[in-house]
This record gives sequence, structure tokens and C-alpha cells, in this order.
Amino acid sequence: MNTERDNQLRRLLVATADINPTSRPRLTRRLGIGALGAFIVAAAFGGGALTAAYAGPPTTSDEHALRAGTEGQLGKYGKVLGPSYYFRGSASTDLHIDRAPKGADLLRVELICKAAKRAELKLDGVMQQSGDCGGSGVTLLKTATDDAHTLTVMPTGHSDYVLFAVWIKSGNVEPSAQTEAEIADGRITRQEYEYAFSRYLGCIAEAGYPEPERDLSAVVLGPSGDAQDAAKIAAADHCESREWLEVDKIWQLQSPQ
Amino acid sequence: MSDIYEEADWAAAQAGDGESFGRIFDRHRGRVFFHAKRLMTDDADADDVVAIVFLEAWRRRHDVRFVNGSMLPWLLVTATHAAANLARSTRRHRALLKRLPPGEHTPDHADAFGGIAETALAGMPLADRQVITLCVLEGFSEREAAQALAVAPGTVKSRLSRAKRRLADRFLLESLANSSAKGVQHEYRT
Repeated sequence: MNTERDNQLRRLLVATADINPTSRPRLTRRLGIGALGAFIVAAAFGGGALTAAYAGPPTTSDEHALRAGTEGQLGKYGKVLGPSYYFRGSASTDLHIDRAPKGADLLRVELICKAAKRAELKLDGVMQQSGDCGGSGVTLLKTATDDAHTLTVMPTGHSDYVLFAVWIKSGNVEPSAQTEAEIADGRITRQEYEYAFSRYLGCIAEAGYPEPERDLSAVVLGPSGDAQDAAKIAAADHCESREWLEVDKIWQLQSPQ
Repeated sequence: MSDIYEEADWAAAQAGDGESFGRIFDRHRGRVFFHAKRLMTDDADADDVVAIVFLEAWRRRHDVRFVNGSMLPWLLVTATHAAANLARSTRRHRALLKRLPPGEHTPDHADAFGGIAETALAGMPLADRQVITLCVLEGFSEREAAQALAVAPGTVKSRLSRAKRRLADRFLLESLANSSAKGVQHEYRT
């Protein structure tokens, strides 16, 4: 049974989404196959309609907007690699995706539907997403092989949609080798703790966001946590993941507060 | 693992349909709280972790990952992160957390007799806790855990193997400590 706190949290979340929708590029024109390497290899699913029949002349502005949006979301810690793959249509489509460029670790797929219909998304024949297809959604796919791939979109009924896919080097960060070494024995010495914090400070300063001088005598140290802009938050997350979070956790567990 | 496909709800929420976010909250709040309780000794902290997880989901809405159509694995991973660094997570969402009333909890008698595994889990490195949570406690496959954590399946496999060893060691230590304490108590009573 939900408590009053749960109910209020729910209302807060609903209101947050209601008043802060994500801005998306508006796609109002009939768009065609993007110029950067996308092509249809088959289109004979469902009702058998050919997606090529719905393709209009290529308009790269929307494709560029989607690519720019992706780059903005990745920030400086991820990277878009290789060509983007773009298609607009309203029937089932197979989209050929070239093998991942060097350094890419995820295929980022954005499926934007114009009407609230259902759609399925498959990669190499394996279901990745299925359900109502209203609005837009991003799916990150990790591919098992180094080969070329086939993305399949199967809308139920006729529903205009845009498919945008691109290989990315994700911004996910593993702890640094120094951090791994420090946490390996499950214990953190004060010296290791302060050294990890100094590495975090160095990392965030190098990213262009130096933190104010800190009192290093406190039992528990920590980043300021007052970042407001997306770039600084991205930098803080990156640096904390690399140098700080795991060390800090062990320290806090073993240290009386 | 799951036949729920939540990408559409999430997409709708991002497009301004708050009720879609509400449905995701309704679906997973209980599991996230249960997981938070494993990691936090205090119910109020577990409440904060739940709130932080869903607030973080919105803040990082473009990074949310779905595993077989479900957002739950990502939420659990985020809960483990939030619990691991509650002070910082709380600072980030301090203003919103202050708007929530305190939770209402009744004492859980199971807590008095159990919790050895939870104590052992809470003392493990973050990476270990993530894979133990997903693969052992929540029953996701290594492949699904890899998707939720955005790492290679091989990484999950090696982390899981290492984490199981560490968990077993810690569980043994906690069990010994616990049985030793009970033994003293028993002798005192008789």
C-alpha cells in the first residue's frame, strides 16, 4: 500500500514530466533516406508494403538535427562515430547497418513515431523493443558480433515513423587502474582515500571545473555536488566514476561517521 | 525475463505525458524500495534512495537503459549507486526531497533475525554489489545484467565470479560473528 510520501513523490514525478518535456526536433515534412550510408535491403514484412514507396527526397537537416542532439546528449565523454542511418516511412523496414567503426561500443537507435501505434524493433532478427510507439524513444544496443547488422522496424498498421541510428562510443566509465588497485582488497586507508580525492579534484579541474579549496581533515570528503549545468554534471559524473565513488563507498562503510 | 515494454511509457513521459512516468513509478516502486532496504539500515534512508532513483531517472532520462523492455534493471543499478553515495545524491536533489513528507514504516520483525546476507552485500565494492543484485538477488541473466550496466557480457561474468567469492567470504564472516554473539547470549540465558 502506498504511503502519503509515495503519493506525493508520484505527484512530483508526474508534474516534473508534465512541465519539462524533452525538446525534440520537429519532423513535419515527409523525409527520405539519409545521405550517409543508409539504404534499405528489404521491405517485405507485414502487409508487404515497400517502405521505399513512402520515401521522399532526402532532407538532411532533420538528420543533422538528430545527430547534433545525440552529440549534445553524449557531451564530451561520449562520441558519435561513423555515418548515421536515417529513414522515414510508415511500413516495415529493414535497415542495413555497417559494422561498428573502431572504438564504437553501442548502437544508439532512436525511433520516433508520429502516431500512437505499436511498433517492434529488432536487431539481426532479435526483438529489442515492442510496444506502443507514440512519441520518441532511444534504445542503446550492444552488438555481439563485429559484422554488419540489420535493424528492423515493424509498425502495426500504418504509422509514420523516423528511425535514426548511429554508432557511438558511450560515456560509461570504468574506474581507473589506480582506483581498481585501491579497492581490490576491500579496504581503503586514509592515504588512499585522500589520494583518490585529489585525483578526482585533478580530473574535474582538468575538465575545466576546478573546485574551491577543501578542508581535507574532514572524516568524509566529497565533491561539492552543486553543479547546475549539464556539462559540469557530466564532468563530475565522469570523474567520480573514474576516481572517487568506489573508494568513497568503502571508506564510508569502514569509517564511523 | 519480462514481458513489459516500457520504452513507450518512457518516451511518452519525455514528450510531456507525466502520467506515463507515474505508471513506471507504480510498477517498480516496491522492487526499488525492497532493494534499497537491503542496502540501507534505516527506512528513511531507503525512502530517500527510492525518491533519488526516480529523480535521477528523469535527470538522466536520455541515458536510461531498457533490458528486454523493462526499466527495472537500470533502476536497481541506479539505486545501488544512490545508496553507495547517499550524501551526494541527497545534495543533488535536496530541494525536492525536502518537499516530501516522512515515510510511514512499521517494524519488520524479520529484520531482527535475518540480514546477514544484506550486511555482507552492503560491505562489498560497488561493482560487486551491482552484479550480485542483478544476477543473484533479482534473477537477471548475465546478458541482461550486461545490458543494464552497459558493459560486455564477459565483464559481468568475471565480476560475478569475483563477487560471489567475496560475498561467500563476507557471508561466512558475518555468520560466524552472528552465531558467536548468539552463543554468548544463549549461555547467559541458561
